[in-house]
Amino acid sequence: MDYRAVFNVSAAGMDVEKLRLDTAALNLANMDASAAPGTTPFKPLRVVGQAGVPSFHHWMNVEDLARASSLPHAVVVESDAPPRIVHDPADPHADANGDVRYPGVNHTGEMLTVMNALRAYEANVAALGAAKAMASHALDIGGQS
Amino acid sequence: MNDFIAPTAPIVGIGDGVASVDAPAVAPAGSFATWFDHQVSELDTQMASAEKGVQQLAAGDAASLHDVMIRMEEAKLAFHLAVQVRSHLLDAYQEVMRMQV
Amino acid sequence: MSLIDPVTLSLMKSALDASAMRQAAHATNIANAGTPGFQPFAVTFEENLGDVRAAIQDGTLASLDARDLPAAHLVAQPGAQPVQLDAEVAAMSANALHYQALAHVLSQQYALVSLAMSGDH
Repeated sequence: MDYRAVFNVSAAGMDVEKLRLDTAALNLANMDASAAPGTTPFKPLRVVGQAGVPSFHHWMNVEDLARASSLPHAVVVESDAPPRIVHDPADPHADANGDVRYPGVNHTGEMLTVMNALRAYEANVAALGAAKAMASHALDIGGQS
Repeated sequence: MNDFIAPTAPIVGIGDGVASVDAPAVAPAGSFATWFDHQVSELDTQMASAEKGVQQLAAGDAASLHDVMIRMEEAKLAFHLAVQVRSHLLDAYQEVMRMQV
Repeated sequence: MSLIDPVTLSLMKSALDASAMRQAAHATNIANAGTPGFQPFAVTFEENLGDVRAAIQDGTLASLDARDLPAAHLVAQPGAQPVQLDAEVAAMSANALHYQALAHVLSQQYALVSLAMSGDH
């Protein structure tokens, strides 16, 4: 890979954080979708990040190069958090006990995820900007004679 | 007075008795010639290096931009120097040729 | 041929390489900020310059062998530690500026050399 590898890393990082953001938004949107008795409520999704290090082969020593394989990426998995139970016999989705089942979405947790994902996303954007500024200045070497 | 100008054989044709620009025999023990030869071969190396850098950039293999730019700049300066030296030598030669004898 | 002192030039190139490596390290660390078990990267360069610094102070840098100058190294930290996002971003900004300063200064040196060669032509 060449000098552009550093741009790809940041782009991949942005993708992961954007996925985190979208997943949290999806969970929050489905928070209040109760499930009829006998059906499964929406299962909150979690993003599991997987390390990726592009091969900066011209710089890395052999051991690190062996571990360098790819760009950072993530997979979305269903969380097995138990449904949130609310006792409301009047609700159309109440079961025999009068309990209504909602998706096991942790509101505070999801909001925290949104904030952290946003911060990390912006950090990746900053990294991309810095790399671009540096490359742009490298092009000016010898430009004055 | 005659210490400065050594007696020369009569000049019968253009180019007779005048050293070529490429190997100025007036240099003491050829040290300038040696230096210039060295510069020319170094210039060759640097231009080859610069060209390789450009090729790698085009092929997507350039490890770093500053490396490519530095190699190009070095080659440019080396070439510039060679041109300047040649230009000055040529000026000196033409000035000698203009001298009334 | 280089009309800039070769040792100074070599040091400048190493510094530029180190800075570029550092940017790669920061970008990689930041991109993997949310990844459990990730080993952050760092670059060693200035720490290895002990003798060089002394030579600069004495004004004897030009007498060193350009090939003996320490190079920069991209190393992964031994254990997995959480990435300190704000520290990475701050260090990265400082590094970006440093790189630009090096590139600009090198450019100025080349311009001086070119000027010296042009003379009255």
